[in-house]
Amino acid sequence: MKRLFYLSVVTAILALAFWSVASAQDEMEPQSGGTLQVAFQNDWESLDPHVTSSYSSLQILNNVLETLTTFDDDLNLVPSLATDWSQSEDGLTWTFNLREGVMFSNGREMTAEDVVFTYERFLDPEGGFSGSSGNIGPEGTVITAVDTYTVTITTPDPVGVEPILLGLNKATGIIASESVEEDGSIQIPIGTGPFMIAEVDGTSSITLEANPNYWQEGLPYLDAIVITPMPDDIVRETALQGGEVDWVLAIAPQSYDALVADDSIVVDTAPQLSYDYIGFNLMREPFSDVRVRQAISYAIDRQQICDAAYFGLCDPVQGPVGTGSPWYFDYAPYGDGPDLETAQALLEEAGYGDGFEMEWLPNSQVGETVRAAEVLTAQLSQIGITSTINAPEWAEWLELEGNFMYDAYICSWNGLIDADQYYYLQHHTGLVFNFTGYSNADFDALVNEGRSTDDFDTRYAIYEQANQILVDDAPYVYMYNKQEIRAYASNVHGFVVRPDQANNFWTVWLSDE
Amino acid sequence: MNYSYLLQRIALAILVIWGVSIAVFAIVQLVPGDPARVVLGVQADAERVEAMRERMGLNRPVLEQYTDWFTGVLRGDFGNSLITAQPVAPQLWNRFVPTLQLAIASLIIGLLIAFPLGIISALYPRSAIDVIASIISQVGVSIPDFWLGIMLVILFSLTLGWLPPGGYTPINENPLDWLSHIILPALTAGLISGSIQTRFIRSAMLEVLNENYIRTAHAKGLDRLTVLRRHALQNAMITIITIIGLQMTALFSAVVVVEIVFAFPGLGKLSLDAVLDRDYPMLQGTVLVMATIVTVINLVVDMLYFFLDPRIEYA
Amino acid sequence: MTETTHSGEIAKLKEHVKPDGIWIGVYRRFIRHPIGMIGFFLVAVLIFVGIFGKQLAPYDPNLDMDFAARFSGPTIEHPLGTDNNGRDTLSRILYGAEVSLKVAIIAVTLATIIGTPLGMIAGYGPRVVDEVIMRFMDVLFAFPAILLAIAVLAILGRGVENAMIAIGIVYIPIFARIARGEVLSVKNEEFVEVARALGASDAGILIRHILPNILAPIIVEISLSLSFAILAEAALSFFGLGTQPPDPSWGRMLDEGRDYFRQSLWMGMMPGLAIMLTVMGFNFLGDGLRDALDPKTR
Repeated sequence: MKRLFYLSVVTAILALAFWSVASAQDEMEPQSGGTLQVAFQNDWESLDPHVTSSYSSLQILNNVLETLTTFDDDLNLVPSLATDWSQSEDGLTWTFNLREGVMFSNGREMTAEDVVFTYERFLDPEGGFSGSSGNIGPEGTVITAVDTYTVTITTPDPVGVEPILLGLNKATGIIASESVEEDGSIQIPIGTGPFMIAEVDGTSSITLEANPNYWQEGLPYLDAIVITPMPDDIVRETALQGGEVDWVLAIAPQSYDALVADDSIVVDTAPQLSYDYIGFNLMREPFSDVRVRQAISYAIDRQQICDAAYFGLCDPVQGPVGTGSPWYFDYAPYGDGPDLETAQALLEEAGYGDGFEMEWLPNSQVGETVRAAEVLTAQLSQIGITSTINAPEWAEWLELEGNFMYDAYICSWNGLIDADQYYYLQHHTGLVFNFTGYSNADFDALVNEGRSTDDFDTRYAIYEQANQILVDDAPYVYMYNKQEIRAYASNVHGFVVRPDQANNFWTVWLSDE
Repeated sequence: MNYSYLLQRIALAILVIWGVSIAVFAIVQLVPGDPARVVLGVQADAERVEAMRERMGLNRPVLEQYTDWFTGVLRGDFGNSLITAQPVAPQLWNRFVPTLQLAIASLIIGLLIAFPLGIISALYPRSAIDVIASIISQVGVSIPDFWLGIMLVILFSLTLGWLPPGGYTPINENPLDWLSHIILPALTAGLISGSIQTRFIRSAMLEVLNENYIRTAHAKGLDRLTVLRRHALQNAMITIITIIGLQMTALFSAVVVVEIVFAFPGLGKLSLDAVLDRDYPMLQGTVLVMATIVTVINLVVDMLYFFLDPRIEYA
Repeated sequence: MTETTHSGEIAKLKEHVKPDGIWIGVYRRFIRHPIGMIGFFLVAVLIFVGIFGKQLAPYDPNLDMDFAARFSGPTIEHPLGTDNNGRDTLSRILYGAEVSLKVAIIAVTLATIIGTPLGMIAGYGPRVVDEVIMRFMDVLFAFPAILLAIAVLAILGRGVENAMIAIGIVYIPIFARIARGEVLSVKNEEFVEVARALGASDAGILIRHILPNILAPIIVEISLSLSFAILAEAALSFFGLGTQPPDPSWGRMLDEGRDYFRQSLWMGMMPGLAIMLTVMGFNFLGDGLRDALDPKTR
């Protein structure tokens, strides 16, 4: 009798346990189906991966194209369209073995020929394509299809980080040659990714549909994604709170508290792999004098700038790499807070004890740069620097910044995963992103060395030295490192906020409530 | 009927539209900033920008670019956006419909306010209603439209949550939704437009009511309302049509601001975006379309004048 | 005989053309017009603040950042509150008054001194000249006003000075049309014929005889376009095209107030009220002038 009693109790408990585990699993089990309504911030510009630099465009391409390698959510380099890769003895050639049976969204299988086509188009100097092609290789890089599923990339000098560069973003995604229109442009790229572009309504909306031929079984969960740009923060946030959209790309930092308090919304953050900075025009006086730049770096109150520009959702930094990255260097020579005395002394040494006049160049379409400029104006007036602000919108800003027509500009670099991205193209003499005119032979030698090998410890030591030179020379004065913030409805699951700011929608699914 | 006058007006309107096309093309050429750079973004060196400009056809002689574009327009081809490479014409149509809806809705709201207020205050000058109408219209005319829009959004959208703060749904998709999106912007433009119209209607009615033939009709013993109906309104129609015509053209300018505040996807917002992006074909297309609409409205008003030649009849 | 009759005729002519008596009547009527007087008062306050605002402001509008007191409502230290950087709203509004005033005056002056003569020439001159000038005006007029201003700013570059030019350009056709219309209705009147018969040049007729007679509607239009100019400057600054940061302009302050409405409603209310009162002032003034100069319409 007693045994029977205990047996039934245990059975009941076990049954209860199984039942609750099962139903809990039910809640966690991704469901297929549904359309995700998404609001981006800015319009996408071109959808041609070899031309565009717009974040919105690249995020759409992020879900439509795939690269040979990619970074997982923990930022480890993992295979994607390539299953494995190896470097030749002389370091000049990388060989990639491609995954078999990967289909483009139009039903054709991807082969080595497609890789060759894609990369050659990107590197074509006549094509007027963007400088990001540097991620495939410098001038003289040769791509060859050895056989149907093997590709080699040969560079004039050893590029140890080739697999890393190829996986940074989808600008190097593999496209089908059928994507190219008669006039050579690409309006709708055809890729191997989890989604395909079904409909483009100018810059008013884009509809992505699940790729029926996608090589990863069971993915994506969503049937479709509809993306609308909503540049106005208030409109976008209210659309989310009102249920018109399910997911938004960015929220105004001052709305953070209000949205966190809203139960129907999930707000998620991650430290960005980015930095906001001041770039100086080293071709102009007084910024050609390193002491002036250092004086400014000593004088500014980074915490206050962070509070004013981004409502405190950031950390002050004195170097490009934030604490969230494995490449973080603990080197902060400019003191714990604003040091006006040292700043003043440096200015006097440089001959500017009475101060000088200057103009800031923030970008009117990125509010935090303008707010930073306003605060900088007030802060630096304390050491005798009087400043004005010129805040054009993006088109004009690019002209001025690209042609040394400024004193000091305010901007940010984002999506920085590998050390090379923090140092190489921006600060190496004469390279495409070097808008300050910085040139230091020791630094050049170090960053060249850093990208020729792929051993982490060796590279860390090299970049530590490079970092020190750069922070001391201060062509950039670093201000703060923002939090990446995403907000979405509570029935959206499976989205991961990534420090590199990539938005991967293929793991997202919708539950019913 | 002097039809040659009509033909003259139509010919002049066409001339003006052609003039606008030249003007807008010239403006676009003068605007600094390079669309090639906008598309390529930060990572563009001079070489690549040049190559992109070649691809975009920006280095051809100006006259050739203009003729190419204009002949295309006459065929209905407004070229392709420099930024998205998509054709401009379908975009223009898609955006034109919401703007038209907004303009008409605003006009209706304005008229609904202005007619009763204007007529009543003209009939009973210096009465309490007249004073109230005066104050309302004075305030309405002085409010910055973007400020009014913001206040309405804060009140109805963010605080009360009754209406969305922006955006748009096509009417054939969901009429109720469409209404909820268009009410606030239409109210914003309509309230201000209504205030302006109130003053005009009032003074137009006053002028007419004081005319001699009205006094004659009065003297003949007709009561006020009959007088109003039969004579005053008919003759005030001309002024009223002028007002409506002027308001429509003014509204097409006002909706630019309202569209931007409410993120309403119309021509106005499209044109501002085109300016910011340096999307030349898009900018040319939107401005040309808007200027054409304004010119056509003026033409229609002129023609209505022509046909509404007032002849007074006494009972 | 010719001498005396001539001088008699000329004297009569002068009397007809320079009616000093009428201006006194205008002045008297204006004083008795309550709305007009309110407008005059508001405009006077604006002008006073525009000139002396800088001295009156308790803080520096850009550099005095009281960070701890950001987004505060009205307090003793900050009677109108502070903005997102802790800058004093009252001071910013006072400085902003000067911007608004300057832009309005210069823009409207530009439109008047270019538009009025153009319109007068069009109205008085031969048909060809009339057509050519008015077609140009039509083309300008066909552009939606804000877009024309934005386009001009896109060409010239953003900034306060260019905003003045842009707004001025937008208003040229209106002054031209009014001037032309008035000239057309006046040019066939007796005194013009007499003046011509007496050998006065066209330019002389225009300036000395016609202009004084068409001044009334022009003056009214000046007042009304001043109010439009203030609104236009605010709109352009709101879009980021007019006054540049960190300088305060009422339009820019509205833009900032909108961004931070969750933190403080005061930031947006104050500049909006300032704009409204100023615009109302000019409109009231215009109404009063219109009624005083042409009593028939009321």
